[in-house]
Amino acid sequence: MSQRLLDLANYQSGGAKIFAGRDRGAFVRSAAALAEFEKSADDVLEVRVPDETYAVTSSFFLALFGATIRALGEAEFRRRVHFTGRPVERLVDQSIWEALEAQKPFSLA
Amino acid sequence: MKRLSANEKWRQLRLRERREKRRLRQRASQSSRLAERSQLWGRGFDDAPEEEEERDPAVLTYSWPDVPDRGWYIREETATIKCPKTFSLIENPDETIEAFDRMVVARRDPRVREIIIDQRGVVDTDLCASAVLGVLVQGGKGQVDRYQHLLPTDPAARELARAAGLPRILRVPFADSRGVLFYDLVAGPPNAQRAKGSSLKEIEATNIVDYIDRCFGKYDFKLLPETRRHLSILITEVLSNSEDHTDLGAWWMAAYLRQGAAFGDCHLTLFNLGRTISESLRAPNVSERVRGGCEPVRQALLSRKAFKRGYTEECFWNLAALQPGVTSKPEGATVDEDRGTGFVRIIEAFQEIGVSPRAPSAPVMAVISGSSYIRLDGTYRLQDYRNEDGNSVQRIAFNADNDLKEPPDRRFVHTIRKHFPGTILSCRFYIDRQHLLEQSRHVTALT
Repeated sequence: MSQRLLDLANYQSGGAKIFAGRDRGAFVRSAAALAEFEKSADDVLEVRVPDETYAVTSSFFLALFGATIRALGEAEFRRRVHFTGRPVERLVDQSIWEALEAQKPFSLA
Repeated sequence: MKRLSANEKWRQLRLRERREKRRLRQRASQSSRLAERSQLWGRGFDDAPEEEEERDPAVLTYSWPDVPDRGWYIREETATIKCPKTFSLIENPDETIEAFDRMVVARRDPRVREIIIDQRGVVDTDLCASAVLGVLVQGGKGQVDRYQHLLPTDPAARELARAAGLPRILRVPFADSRGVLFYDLVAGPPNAQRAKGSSLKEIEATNIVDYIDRCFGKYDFKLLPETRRHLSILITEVLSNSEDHTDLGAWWMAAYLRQGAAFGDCHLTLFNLGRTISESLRAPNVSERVRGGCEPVRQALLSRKAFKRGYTEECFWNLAALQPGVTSKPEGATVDEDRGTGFVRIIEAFQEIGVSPRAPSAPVMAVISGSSYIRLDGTYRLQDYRNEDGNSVQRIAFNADNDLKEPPDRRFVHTIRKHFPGTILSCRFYIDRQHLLEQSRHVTALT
């Protein structure tokens, strides 16, 4: 079993304290080799969210972890991916729902 | 080879002469343009970054294609753009957009060498109108030799125009911004994506949130982390939409706080030129769940002939975009509370914290997209609504029953005569220390 680290601070510049955008999430996913992580069943990942972060948007988070959530399932994702730094529990819960249940119908009516 | 008649030869000769004259005139005006402009606007105008000079004309040329040319205000080489008494997209969108239309027509007319922006009659103005006009002026830099700006004669409007109007937007030296904390107009360059580092929208969204925090800081308060989070998400969402829904992915943002002794008057504006909300939500790549989810309501309104002159389908889509989870992004969430509702939640937050009993009006936000106008001033709010499945959801329908199948109150959701080729969001609120001391849901006192 090996411990991996994904420090989001490495993907910040220009004083930005927000992580937003699908393209950016996809880039971080590729740079962090998450596809490879998903295949190594024993690996665990620590995701460090900088303490001074104002917000992580769902588009960024889903591009980063949507495929991982679908590949591992909720329980395995929660077991193998841990978040430290600024609390993002609500975003994680919401994104898991979004990634797994997104085919449900929707109505304004 | 066909032989030309004498008349035809003469006509072609005249045409060639005319083309040559035009070419020479363009060359001469290009060489003298910078010098002339420096005299009129001072150095600030010419100090603008080079890349903006290349970008803006294209954006404007693409984005404002169908303005009817009624060039009655163009006299020989001079066009006069007379701004209305209330030069504000929040309060007077039709006449304000008409002034923009005239500017666009004037800029396109090859005869026009000088544009006079006449604001002498302006009594009430706001940031969003000045910002759009500023972008139009900047975009016309390669086409017009001279701009003249006639400031309002009304003393209060004149002071505001100098401090936070066109001169400040264009960063000309005679702008007088004492007592005003200004967030300079920033333009999101097209496709500004830097994968490794933060994108421009992430940086600018952080900057504007910090700026709003500084505004509250002037009155010894600061935003709570949760409010900061909502605000960050709202702004990045609006900027993302602007990048996704415009041909060139460009957006603009500006803000100012006018500091008074009793309370501060804060304006924030974000806009893009390109597809409207209605066009975006009806685009083929929009999630079928989202479009399909809106469809029963649209059909209900259609069957009841609810779409009329004052409330059109375009208004409906603009209103739908404010509802929880409705997004035009193909990958968009449908229940994500940060999407769609962010818009309404933030204005509701501002309606709580942005009130001043001493201010002339309540906090207000206007959303103009195409020919639809929505005004949020707290009269109607996001409320729980029990849908057909019996589930409780949050809605803002702008009517007594809070039901989207009913037409909204026309005072708040309606069509406008003019067309804004994109989307503009303009927000005005107040910062009053006395009021802030009485509530603490979104801000906290600095210790």
